Parts: sequence; C-alpha cells; structure tokens
Amino acid sequence: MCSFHLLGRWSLRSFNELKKRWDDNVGCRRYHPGLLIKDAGLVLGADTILVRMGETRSGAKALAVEADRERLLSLLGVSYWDKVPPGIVKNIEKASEQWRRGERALAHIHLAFTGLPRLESTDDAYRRYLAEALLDDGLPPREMLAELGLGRTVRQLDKFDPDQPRVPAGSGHESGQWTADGSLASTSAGEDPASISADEDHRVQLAGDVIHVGVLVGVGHAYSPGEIPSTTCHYESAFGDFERYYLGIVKCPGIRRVP
Amino acid sequence: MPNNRKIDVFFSASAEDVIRRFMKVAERTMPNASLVPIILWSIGGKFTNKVTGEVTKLGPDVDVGAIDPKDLADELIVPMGGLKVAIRLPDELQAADRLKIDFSDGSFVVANN
Repeated sequence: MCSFHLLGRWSLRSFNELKKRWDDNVGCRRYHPGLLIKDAGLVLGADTILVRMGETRSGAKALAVEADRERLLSLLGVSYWDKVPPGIVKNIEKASEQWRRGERALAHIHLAFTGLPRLESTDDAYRRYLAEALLDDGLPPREMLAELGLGRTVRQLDKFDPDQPRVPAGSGHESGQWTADGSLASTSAGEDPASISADEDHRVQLAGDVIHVGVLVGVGHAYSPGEIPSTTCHYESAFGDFERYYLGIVKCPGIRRVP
Repeated sequence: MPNNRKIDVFFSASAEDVIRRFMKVAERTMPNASLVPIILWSIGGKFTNKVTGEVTKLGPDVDVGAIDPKDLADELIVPMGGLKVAIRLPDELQAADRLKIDFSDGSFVVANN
C-alpha cells in the first residue's frame, strides 16, 4: 500500500496515531468515490483534500489549483495508480471558475468531464489518506511519487514549471494559462477579475467548445399538393447563413445553434 | 397550449451543459426577449459559409433553439434544473414513456429507452 521508505518517515507512534485516527474518525466517514468540491476544497475519498480552497483578490472562494497543482497531481497519481488523464488540471480549473461564479452544478459537470473512474474501495481511500498525511508532513510530492514508482505522474509534474508566469484565476478564458512573457500575468490595480467576462462577444466557452448562434431573419412555407406542408427557417450568423426545414407549419425558434 | 402529458425526460450532464450555455448566449443576443429553450428536430437544411461561399447540405438532426413562449403550440414542457425546456420531436419519440437526451460529438442524441 505504501513503500517502506515512505512509512519510515514516521515514527511508529505517529504512524499508530495516524492509523487510529483513520479507524476512529476518517475511515468511518462517507466516502466520495468521485471528485467533489466542498468548502474545504476539492475532495476525494474520505475527505482527502486534493486542492485547498483559496480566495481570489476580489475575495471570492476558488480552488487554489495553481498553488496546489503538485499536490493535486501527486494525490491523483497515488489514487489512480499513475493513470492521471493529461487534461485533468484544465477540467478542474474550469470547475473552479464555475464555483467562483456560484455555478455549482456547472462546476460539478466539469468535474464529471475529467472522466475519472469512481473509487469505491476502502483501500483506495486509505492509500490516499496516507499520501495526504505524508504531503502534509512536508514530504515533497516528487519524492513521494518516485518512491512509489509513479513515473508517469512525475513526468506530468515535470511538464509544469511553477515559475512560469500564469494568468491569475478569475480572468475568464485565460485563467491559469501560461504566458510566454508574463504580460497577462497581472491585472491592473483595483480591477475586479470578475468583471473580465469571457462572454462579452456573444459566445461562451465552458466545456472546450464555443457555442455560436444564428438569429432568425426569415420564414417560408411550402405547400405541395398531396404532401405535408413544410416550414423553412432562415438564420444569419457571424459565420454564414443557414436554413432549417421542418415538417408542418411551425413557429421558428428566434435563435438556433449554428450547425 | 402546452402538452401536459407525463413523460420521463432525462438530460445527460453534457446535454444540460450545452442547453444552459446556449441559453446564456441566446439571452445576451436578444436581451429583451423572454426566450425558452426548445429541443427540436428538423428534416434537413443548408449552411452557406460567409467567407468561402461554400454551401453545405445539412441532414436531419435534433438541436437546441430558443423560442418565444408565445410561439409554443403543443410542445412538451419538461423541467431541467430550474429551467423549463420545450421539446418538439417526432410523434413516435414523444409517445415514449421515457426519453433520454444526450449530447455527444457535437450533436444531440435522443433515445426512447
């Protein structure tokens, strides 16, 4: 479950205390087999905190994904035994952004998009609990992963340079993105990050694709003897005009998604 | 007159996400209109690319629109979270006891099981 070297960091007494705490308290809690955002942060299993809850400069609650990136990947690496989806940090950043906006359902939809399998067993939760305790005890995440032989997760950590400038949380689409020169890594003093809307140009990007819409500009009806009449709705959009045909004489929606 | 027939409609997380995002865009596009989302089927269509002029024929599909509630006729109205969604589908589908609406690979998919 945990390598001998790692457990050797603790004295027998502190390990026994840890085990007792698990048996008495943590182990009997309700498990979260999937990712969940709670007041304390992003949790999994027996309330193991993968990412701690922080605050944006405007005081809004948001997951401290940037600060806890190594912790997150390490604990996921331990939980899913080195099989951490490469885009998972992005999903969690999007979930955090929605949480900050108060869109809790959307936040958890983004968590669902991570595609992580549910972890139902007590062993999974206990392993994660021990790993969390090691990290909280000051063990560097890379050292823990190396000891456990989780090389793939180590390589995922290596792709991330914590010193590279990043756009601050709460900056709409660009939140958390790396920047080449740090030019976007700060907002002007007094500027409320929440006021930087990703939606200003009539499009929204939440799940990785942008929704574009067309506006109804015309309606036509066709009647042919012996056939069912039909309706044609004409739309205009930024990308081009489109028509949709419907059976029968129907009302057209005023707005439709661009095909 | 909305259709009040009881039907169990289930929206997948991805379908609900797309509908909600679409409505956000729709509300910004027509801020003074009071629009409701509608899942509707069409028998075809065409798209003309504004830049290249290329015309693409569109096949039958199910997609989302936003409609003035006054324009609703006998569509099913089903709740989705705090939102009411109108559904205009072929009669065969609407006769089912249960509908599942999913969004996959950029398209809505409706199943009646």
